[in-house]
Amino acid sequence: MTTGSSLGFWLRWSWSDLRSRWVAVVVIALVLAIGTGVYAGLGSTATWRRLSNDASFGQLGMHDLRVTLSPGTFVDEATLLELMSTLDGASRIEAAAERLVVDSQVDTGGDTSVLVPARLVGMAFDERQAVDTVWIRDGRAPSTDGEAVLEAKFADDRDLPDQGSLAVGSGPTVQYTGLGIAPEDFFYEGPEGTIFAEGELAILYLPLATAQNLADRPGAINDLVLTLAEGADRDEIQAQLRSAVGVSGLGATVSTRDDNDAVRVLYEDIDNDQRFWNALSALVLGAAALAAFNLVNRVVEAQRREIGIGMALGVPRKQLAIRPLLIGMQVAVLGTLAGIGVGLLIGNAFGNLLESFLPLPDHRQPFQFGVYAQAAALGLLVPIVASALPVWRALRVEPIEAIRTGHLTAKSSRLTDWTGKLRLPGSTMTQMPLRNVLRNPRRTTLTALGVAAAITALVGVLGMLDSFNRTLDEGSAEFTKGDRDRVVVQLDTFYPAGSDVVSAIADAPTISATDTGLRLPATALATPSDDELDLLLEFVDFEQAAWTPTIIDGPPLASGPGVVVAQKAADDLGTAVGETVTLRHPIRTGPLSFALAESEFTVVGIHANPIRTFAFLDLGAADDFGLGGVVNLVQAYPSAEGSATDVQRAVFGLPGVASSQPVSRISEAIDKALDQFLSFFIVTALAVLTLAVLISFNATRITVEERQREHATMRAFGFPLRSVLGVVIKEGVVVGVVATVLGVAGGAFFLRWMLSSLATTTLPDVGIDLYLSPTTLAIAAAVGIAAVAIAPLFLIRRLRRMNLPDTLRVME
Amino acid sequence: MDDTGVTEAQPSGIDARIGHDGTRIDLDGVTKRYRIGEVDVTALEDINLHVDAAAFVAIVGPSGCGKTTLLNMIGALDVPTSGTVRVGGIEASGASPGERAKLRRHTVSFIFQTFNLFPSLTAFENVRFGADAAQQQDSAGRAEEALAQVGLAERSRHFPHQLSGGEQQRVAIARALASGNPILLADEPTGELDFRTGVQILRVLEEQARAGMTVLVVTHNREIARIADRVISLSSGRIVGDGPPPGGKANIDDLQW
Repeated sequence: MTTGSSLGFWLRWSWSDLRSRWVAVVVIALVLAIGTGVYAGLGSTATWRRLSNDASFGQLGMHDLRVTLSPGTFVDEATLLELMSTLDGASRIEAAAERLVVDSQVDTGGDTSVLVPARLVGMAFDERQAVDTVWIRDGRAPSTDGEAVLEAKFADDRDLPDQGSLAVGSGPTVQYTGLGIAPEDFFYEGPEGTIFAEGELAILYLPLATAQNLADRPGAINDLVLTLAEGADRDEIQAQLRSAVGVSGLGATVSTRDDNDAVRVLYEDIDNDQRFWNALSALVLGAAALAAFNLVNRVVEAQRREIGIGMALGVPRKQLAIRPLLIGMQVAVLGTLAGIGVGLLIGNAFGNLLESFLPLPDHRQPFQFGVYAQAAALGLLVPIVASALPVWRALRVEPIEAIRTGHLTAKSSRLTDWTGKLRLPGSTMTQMPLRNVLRNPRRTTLTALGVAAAITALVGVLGMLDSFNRTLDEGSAEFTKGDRDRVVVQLDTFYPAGSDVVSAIADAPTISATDTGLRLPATALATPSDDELDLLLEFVDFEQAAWTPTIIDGPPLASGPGVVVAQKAADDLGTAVGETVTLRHPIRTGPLSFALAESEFTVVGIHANPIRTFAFLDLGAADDFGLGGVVNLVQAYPSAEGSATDVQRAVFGLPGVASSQPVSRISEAIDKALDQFLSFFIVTALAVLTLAVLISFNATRITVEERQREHATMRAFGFPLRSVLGVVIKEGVVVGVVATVLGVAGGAFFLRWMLSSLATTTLPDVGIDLYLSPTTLAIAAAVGIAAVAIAPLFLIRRLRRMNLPDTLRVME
Repeated sequence: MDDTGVTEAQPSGIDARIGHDGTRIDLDGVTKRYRIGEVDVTALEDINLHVDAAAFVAIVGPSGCGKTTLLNMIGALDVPTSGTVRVGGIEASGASPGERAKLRRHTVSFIFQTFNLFPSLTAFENVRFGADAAQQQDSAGRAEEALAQVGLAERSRHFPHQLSGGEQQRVAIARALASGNPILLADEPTGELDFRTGVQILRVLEEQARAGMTVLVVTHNREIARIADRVISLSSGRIVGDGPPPGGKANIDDLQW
């Protein structure tokens, strides 16, 4: 036989193998495809996000530098542009634009009335505005004075239409003609540094004159944004700007693009998120690889006797290896091709989610050749290695051993010998499932591990949701404490507790009671490390206020010095109840002047809110901050017939009120944000679920194939089909229970690792405790046990049609 | 126990139904045809066969003559294309799969050439399986008794892979005996075994026939058939001979092959 015809012969034989085992080959290929597809699909998102961010920030001319005048400071139009033109590096400035940015409040009015803090951004909507331009997502740009564009994320969060009207402050109504977003607002972090705050700030982009009219600042601006020419030294020009601003006597900050929250979060999160997806996809790929290894291994092992016959006939071992190796290659090629398809599907699903999740004007999702090449290489390697190992083992044995009838019988092992001494209760049919499982521990372990790995991935994904959900629920519960109508009214500065401003709120209609307090930013200094944590200090009357933090560690709250912090903050700061923490905080030195001071406080308790930012002191401690007798926060409670909305409406427009927010909004915002997160996880969870079911099904299918002579023997002795099925199902349940226990344990371990390593960088402000919900455990059990146990039912037809005489005579 | 390690037959206990009228086997005009691809193959052609209870019958013939097909018809593993098969008074040819399973469960027991033992069960458990299948009371006791009967009481805790071929076949025989079913169907029971071990197996089978079981042994070895009371010769799916062994019934010790 020539080499060419020899190869043709083996290929034809292999083709025949493929046809006779096409279900197994296709299922293994699908398992592999899901593993490589998830790897390829999830691996692409980092590049997509980076490209989309670059394109979107570039398209809208995100500023390189920004000059923001101190609060309350305004200058005439062109003042800042003129100041800029005096810089040495003025020629390196590509474009610049002046704006008026002022805080306000808006009320959407109508049935879905919402009253929230607002930011008015006065700017140009033509070629004069080449920096921080607004992307009009829906509707159109303002064409006349009095029109505006509403920030899109806020509108989405509040379910507002593309066009409508808003009452600004207690003043006139503004028509918004569309929804849009400026690059600096791609992400909004709440005033307390909290996430999920998109619905808490209404940004209105208006023609400059409209903004000036609304702010009652005709001809004034307080903000300058500019972009630099390529190659310009940003730090140098920033320094020049600072110097020029200082010389002019204006109070201002000069910030860079990197100081912007949107830039920071959108780019920083890419790597953190990708680490999470990488870990998850590696787990899924590992599960698929293990399963594919096990399944290909078993298919090839079934050919060992034929390999032995070939050796006995003197066929060179290299030639004998071709046929089983071709099975591995068939699986590899099919799996890789399908994997690219699955990867594209998952990538597409993720791409769509990214588009809905990140409101960018330019989403770029090019095919990631490198990632797919990696996935394809893994997809090709796994089944080839998986088939090479049993081939190697088969070729090592003497021909006579390979062709011996019963070669598939478990060889003697200590476990097998030991189980022979066991007398198990029940009939032999009852004992058989456990006996079968114990008969070949290696095979059972590999099968269980394949299913377990898929369950680990599933539990990891669902457990992340559970833990996240529970943590936020705890946060929500702590915020509301059963009273969802409590409204937090933030004042625009400090007022004496008995001032008219505070009295006006307390006396407002529909408000039955109020508690006054203080809110101050502070920085906690960790020891022994030099880490710093941003905190929001809230002063509450621990003994009198209707709402006080729940203490989960430490003595009951009492008036006096000391700070109550979150468990996450205590952990990160290396402190505990009874120990001290150093805070860098503002201390009032005059009516409106502050200095920074560092003071040591005893930690008197740990509160129940998982968000690290929140820290509480007794209102009496305000004296130490120079704030005795003044407040900047009022907690307002509606009367019996009133609601939180009534309270908001009542305080709307009152002098000194900066914003009002019902505590229930926090939990609503969290729920809404969770829905978006859920979508990401559902895509992955579905892929993992399919993987687990396929692994279960194929493992059972191969088991049924391997045991067909035993099943035929049972039926020859008169056992009905249901009894035979019962044995297979019970055997599946035993493997499934082992796989589920291993999978859940693995999932919990994976989750713990994710929460302890990745979540600390992705969500540093939230203390997330590991939690697996009963639903997750039920799904894991359903996949691990039920899917394995039910799989034989799909093989009833095959078992029923089994040719008993032929099967009983099969020589394996 | 003789020098081969096989205990003499002990008819009491495990074969309560031996001698029952229902152990008769009747085949009338049985034909079995298969279709393999485009070709019709006639495995059996107009077989008329009647076997009385407690007979020891050998079915002989060359490979492919239909011996195993005939045994499968009698054992209700297969159904004829035409004709009737009655086993123990039950018409197996027209029975539903469930009824045929019941027949296998309570009337016939198989011994296969390739043993078909359950590799995950010990010798004792494999034998007990036969008793469990036939829904016998005290299946453990019957299994111990049957193992002792084939001389393997000492090997009861061993798995099939720890036993020799002859021992595995004796376990298979014990499994059939433990069922207590009155008809024993053995398909080339010595086919995988050496002469000495084969003789051991034949001795056990002869003892069962002597004890009152109906034993049908399929073999291509005419020498082995000499120990039966009756030899049925098949050729190309037809019965070409039916009677006592040519030259008379032989003693097992005189066999040579």
